Amino acid sequence: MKRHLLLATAPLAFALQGCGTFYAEAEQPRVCLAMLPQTFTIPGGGAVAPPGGFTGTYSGTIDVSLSDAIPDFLLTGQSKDRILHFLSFDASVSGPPGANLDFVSSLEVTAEGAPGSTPVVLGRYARGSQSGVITSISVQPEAQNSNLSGFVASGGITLGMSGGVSVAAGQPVPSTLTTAVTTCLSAKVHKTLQEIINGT
Amino acid sequence: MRLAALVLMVSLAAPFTAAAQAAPAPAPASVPAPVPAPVEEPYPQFGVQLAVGAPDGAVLSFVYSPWYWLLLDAGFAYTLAPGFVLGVEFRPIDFFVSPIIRGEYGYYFTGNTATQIKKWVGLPEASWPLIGDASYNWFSGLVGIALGSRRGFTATLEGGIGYLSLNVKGGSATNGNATITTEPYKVTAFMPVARISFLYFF
Repeated sequence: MKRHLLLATAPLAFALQGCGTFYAEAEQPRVCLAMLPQTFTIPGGGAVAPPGGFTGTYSGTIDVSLSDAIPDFLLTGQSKDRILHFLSFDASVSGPPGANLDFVSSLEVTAEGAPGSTPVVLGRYARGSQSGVITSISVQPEAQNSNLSGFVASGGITLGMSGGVSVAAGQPVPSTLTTAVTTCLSAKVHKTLQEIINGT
Repeated sequence: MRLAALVLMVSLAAPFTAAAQAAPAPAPASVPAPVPAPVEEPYPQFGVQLAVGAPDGAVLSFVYSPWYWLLLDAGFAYTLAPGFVLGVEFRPIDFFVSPIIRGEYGYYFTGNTATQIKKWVGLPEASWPLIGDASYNWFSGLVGIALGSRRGFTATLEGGIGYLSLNVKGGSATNGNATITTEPYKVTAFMPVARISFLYFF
């Protein structure tokens, strides 16, 4: 009979002390954000490229207000228990028919959180030797193991886009770069029962 | 001649004497006839069970018991959505109070689960489309006690641990300057489980 009592009380004892053992875990393998078309100014653009060609730069930022779409309790707790990884970044042409991204020679995408935080380079693109119309640019992902959740928890992620343009001599140099941006991330959150009860 | 007649009479009488000696003596009229051993009534094999618990919700089950110590049940369940629960239960002791060891599997179809999730997690209403239909299933192991008769009505109280898997379809929503699209995703939980049930065998 003692053995039966032990059998019956063991789970109860386990449950009482096990609020840290019990957990809930959510995993989103892929969430994609398609941003409205973004326009970046190209200093020196808006004219015909001089003999020898035109090289210039562009840069800008995109605010990704993910925190509005994520319940608050998922952004609390220890950062090791909430993971946000970068998967991909694509910039596609946005503009009238015939618009082209062939003048974009390079692109670097960074992520940063609150002002003063250290940016993380998410990926880079360098135009190869391909010719013809380029309607979409995909960066080569880097730092895929970097945890970006801290940026979201501290107010949101700001994506930084910067790079270079080059136009052959005699060709028109656009004054702006307008592109539709899609970036994809994966997310995982782990919460113990104790944290769920405490709302932390 | 007289001797021969005597021998003949003895030899003729001998079988009757032996037969008379071999026959059992009649039982005395005062000894009662032996009573046949009582035949034990078999345990009932079928029953119906009503249970409430977490994550079970409310479950109405039909129970089959091939042996008194083993119960198999299958039932219709409802929490946030309709579903079903299958269980196997061991009751090793046939006594008024009996320990229970139980294993359980449950599956719930899509219903109001997604709607409740949206409310529980406090998701902004603009982002509700990101949570599509949701179904869930779980395994659990429980121990507990049963009170009552195995041949009639019993009430049980059980607790244990379970592993729940919530499968959520993705969706798409516009948030600020971005359109967010989610793929199907999964929420898993290792959690305590508990149930109270009432079982009647007929």
